[in-house]
This record gives sequence, structure tokens and C-alpha cells, in this order.
Amino acid sequence: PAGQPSTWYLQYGDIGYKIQREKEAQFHPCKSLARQPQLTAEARCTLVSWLIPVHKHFRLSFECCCLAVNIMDRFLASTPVAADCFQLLGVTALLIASKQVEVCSPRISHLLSFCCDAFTKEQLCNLECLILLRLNFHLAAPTLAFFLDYYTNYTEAAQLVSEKTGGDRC
Amino acid sequence: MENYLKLSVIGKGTYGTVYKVKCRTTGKEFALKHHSDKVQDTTVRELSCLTALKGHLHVVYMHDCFISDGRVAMLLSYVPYTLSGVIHNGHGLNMCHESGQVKQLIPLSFVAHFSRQVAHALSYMHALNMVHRDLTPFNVLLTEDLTVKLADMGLSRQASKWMSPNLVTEAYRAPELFDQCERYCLEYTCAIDMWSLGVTIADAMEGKVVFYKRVDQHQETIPTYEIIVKTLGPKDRSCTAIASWGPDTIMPSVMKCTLVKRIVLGLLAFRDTERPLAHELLRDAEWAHVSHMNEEDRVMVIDQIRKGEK
Repeated sequence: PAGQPSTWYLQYGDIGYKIQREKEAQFHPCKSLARQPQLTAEARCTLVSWLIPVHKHFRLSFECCCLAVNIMDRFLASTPVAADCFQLLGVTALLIASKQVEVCSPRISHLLSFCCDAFTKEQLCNLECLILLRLNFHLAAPTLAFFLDYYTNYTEAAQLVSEKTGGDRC
Repeated sequence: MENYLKLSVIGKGTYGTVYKVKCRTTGKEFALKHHSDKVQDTTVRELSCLTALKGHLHVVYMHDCFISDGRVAMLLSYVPYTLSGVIHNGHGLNMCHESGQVKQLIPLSFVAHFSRQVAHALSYMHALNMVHRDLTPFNVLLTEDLTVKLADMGLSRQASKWMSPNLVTEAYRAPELFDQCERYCLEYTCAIDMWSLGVTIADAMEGKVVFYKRVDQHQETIPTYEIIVKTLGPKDRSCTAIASWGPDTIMPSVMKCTLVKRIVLGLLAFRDTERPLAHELLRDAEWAHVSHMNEEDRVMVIDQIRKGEK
């Protein structure tokens, strides 16, 4: 049996989906590594693979993780980053994303301990401000988590309808 | 930021200070919201909401944003009046004696007018799964031509299953937010904003903060939640210990007008699922019809604003 579609989906799903689809182009950078002399696609892949368990450790949502990757990619499209600062960019993006969508954001010192304390709090705070500036404060990106949630609800709602009509036929 | 001259302090809060500023080159006035701490969670949320809602007619516009010494300063449109300044006049829609005249201070059309413009902003926010969470007449702003601009998005955020319940100024807080059962967080939806809008309309009708905690004849304080349960609680839940009041006790003017009664009691449904959505309120033809303000109505509201300024 299908799950229940969420209240938001039932009330606003289709309008919300339309708005987010329109916004998508504005938020998704192509060739985020084109301007990076030191960073490769493999390095980005490694960092994202590392962010996944880190966000889980802090019990952050999938939405938060998606936003962090989006923030990171858009920053990379605007600013060249040295290879030894790449990890700092990852945790800082995660911090900004968590401030946006979580009830509580992780402590900066905890985040830094995951980077083997290679960076200072000051460095992280400076980068945080730089990211906000470079993204021109545009943070509410439509995420993979949003679209997955929408499609899941869509399928569930469709299944409920077909179960009902199927039941009527019996 | 050096290009803006600080004129006066408009507001102060835990977040920091809001200044009225003037652009040195153009002479245009703005509000500059200066955060006193390093980038806080609420600052990030407000930025995220303000940029996502940029250009919406009924949301305060962020022209620019600066960071100096790790602190965020937002340059917002300067909107001179608050809804509270107009509606919290002690009379609401009732006639009152003033300088030898019997007159009405605000017209019904204004109540419908502002509530529809707020609903307009909310319907867009809610479609983005964004809940304002702190809607009160104090952060519904009004321009010179009485256009509504929603402000103070510091608590706004994308709705998620679990949100901290510790929000919304108490008198405007929906009942489900009081019902904490010692849990840290609870599940709620954009319907909390619709409740706050309902209370705001009731405030305008009565001319005061309707659900403000009050002291009864035995000098005992009745908190907001108890007032809500007494007046609007579901009949099956009203225990015998709490004498029921009925809505006419606390909002007689609302109950006198059939149309307003239908709108307000709809928004103040105790169960969140029974409240109309923002775009449903906008579809209400009767309410839309009333919301047309003629010149006389406008002058009445502007007079009310001028008086409050003195």
C-alpha cells in the first residue's frame, strides 16, 4: 500500500513544483570546475562522498546535504579554490546549509574537528562571509531532495487514486 | 555602506539594530538592518527568504546587503508605518467620540484590504514551503499609499517535519504551538500563519490585542492559550473545569458582522487542517469585493496614521 502524500504536497505541491522548476536554471551551475586550476572532478567526488557521512553524523537532513553541495558548486563556479582549502569549503557550505534548514546548526568546533583541526574558526568564518557574498546571498536553491520528495508524493497520490478506482470496479 | 548616512534608530532587538539611513548620492531613504553578532542561523534564514521573495509586491524589498567585520547589514526599503499603529487604536471598527464628533476610525474595507495583501504574500511563501512563523501587526508594514509589506523574516524558514515551537509572539501563536507535551519540537504547517492572520483581523476589528493575556476579576492571570481554549476550543475538549466563554466575549465586533465572523472564525479554526489556505482566502469573492477602498476610506486610515505619529 502507498504512503500518505504530505499535507504540503496536497495543498501546494503543483504550484510549488512549478516555481522551483523555474528557479532551477538560475541556481544550477554548469561546469563548476572550469575555473579551478587545482581541483579535479575526482577531488569533488571525494569531497561529496566525505560530506555524506559527515552530514549523517550531525543528523542533518538530506535537504541540508543537497543544499551544501549546491552552495559549494556555485562558489566553485565563481572563485578559484586552492586544493588544501577544499575541505574547508565543504564544511563551511554544510554549515550555511544547516543554518538555513535545520533547527540547530552544528558547532563550528565540531565541524572543524572533522577536518583534523587543519583550519581555524576564523578561517571558517571568513570563508562563510565570502561564500555569502559570492553567491550574492541567493541561498534558497531548489534541491534534489525537493524534487525527489515531490515525485514520491506524486507517485503515492497517483497510487491512492488507482487503488480507489480499482476498488470501485470490484 | 559608507555611502549611507545613519539618520535615526527605527528598531532594536536581540538581532541588532535597524537604522533609518539616507543615500549620500541619491538622497533616497532606506532601512539598514545591522546584525550585531557574527552570521547567525536567523540571519542566514532571513537572507535566504528575502532573496527568494525578492520582487514580491507585498514583501519588504532587499536592495543590497553588506558584510563588514563578519557582520551582516541588509539595506531594505524604508516602509514608514506598521499595521499595529493603525489598528491598535482602542476602538476598532466601533464608533467613538472624538473632539466632539462621533466617528469611525478605520473602515471595514481597510481590514479586508490588508488581510488580502498579507494573504497574497503568504500564498507565495507557502507555495515555496516557507512559513513566516512570526506574523503579527508589528511586522506587517504599510507604505504611504497603504500597500502591505511583510517584514521580519528572521524566523521564516522552509517548513520541515520538525521545527522548534518557540516562536510567534504569544498573542498571535496558533494553539498547536502551545501544545508541546514537553517535546522539543513538533510538526506543524503553514496553517500557523493563517491563524496569526485571523488574530490580526480580529485585532483590527476590536482595536486591541485580542488574545493578550489578561487579568480576571480575581486578579488571576489568564494566559493566551487558556483564552483560546475558552473561546474557540473544540466542544469535545472543553473540560468542565474551564468555563467556556464563546467568541463574543473577546471579539464582539467580529461577531456582529456576518462576513467578518465567517472569515475570522474560519482562520481561527482550532484544528489547523480546518483553516483555509492563503489562496483560498484570496478566492473569497465577498471578501475581495469589500476590500475595495474608496478615497474617503483612504483618508480615514491616513488620518489614523498621522494621529499615531503625533
